[in-house]
Amino acid sequence: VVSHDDLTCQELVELINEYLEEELSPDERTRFEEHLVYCDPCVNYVGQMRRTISLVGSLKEEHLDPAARDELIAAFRGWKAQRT
Amino acid sequence: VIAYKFLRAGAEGPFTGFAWPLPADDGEPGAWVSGDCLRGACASGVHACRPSDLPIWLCDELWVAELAGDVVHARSKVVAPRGRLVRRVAEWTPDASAQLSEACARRARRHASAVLRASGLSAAEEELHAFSLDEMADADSPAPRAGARVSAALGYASDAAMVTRAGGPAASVAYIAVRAAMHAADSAAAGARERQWQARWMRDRLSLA
Repeated sequence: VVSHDDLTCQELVELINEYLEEELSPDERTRFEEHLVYCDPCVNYVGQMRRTISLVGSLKEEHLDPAARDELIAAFRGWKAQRT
Repeated sequence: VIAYKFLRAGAEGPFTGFAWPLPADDGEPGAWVSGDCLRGACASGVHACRPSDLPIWLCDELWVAELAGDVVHARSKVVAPRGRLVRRVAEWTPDASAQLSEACARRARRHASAVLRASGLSAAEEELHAFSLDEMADADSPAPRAGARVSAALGYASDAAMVTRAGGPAASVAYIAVRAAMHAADSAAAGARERQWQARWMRDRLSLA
């Protein structure tokens, strides 16, 4: 039983996408879940991410208000223009 | 192979949410579960604990599980192609969990004592020992002008006492005790020894084989 390579909260945040997409190696997944046993804030974070993905995944384009859609498109274009 | 499995209340997998088939009232074990029944990455097989792994996976319910097929020993668990629940360990109750928290908080204080002693702060060590766990959660530091090493050791002891007093998860207090042990000895091996101590505590308290 080793403890020197425990995951930190920051590392867990960095790995959460791979965890939820089931792309972590077995050892990484074990370290990730060991952290969740003792860290309630990270349990909440993983739960929030799961709920967000579930909610966003159920959205369709027609659910968007046209004005909100235009605003989002403008924001993305502006962001992209700033980066180029 | 007989192993152990920690589950959430209602015999639910803590990470998969899988509802494990329960043993029957007449004592017949629950239905076999294979990796195929489990979601995504858990499709590699059924995960369970050796006695030494128990403190790492603390959760609401503790079950004795039977594993079948080739059992692979991993970092802090065993994995088998199939498994089933045999019986619940009735001795693992909220009261037992609270007792483990308290025992671990006392261990964290003991590790802080060792750091104070090694730093020549025997008066502060005596003061620390005079505190009850409740008092320790609120007490001012017995060595307020000591260096970072002493402060961190006292911080672990104080955190463990606070989480225990608040009825927080035993898993968190057990982990704090592990970090306190590693800090006091400046060694990762001390953390492993602390987990071994916790596993022995559980074996004795829960009358595990």
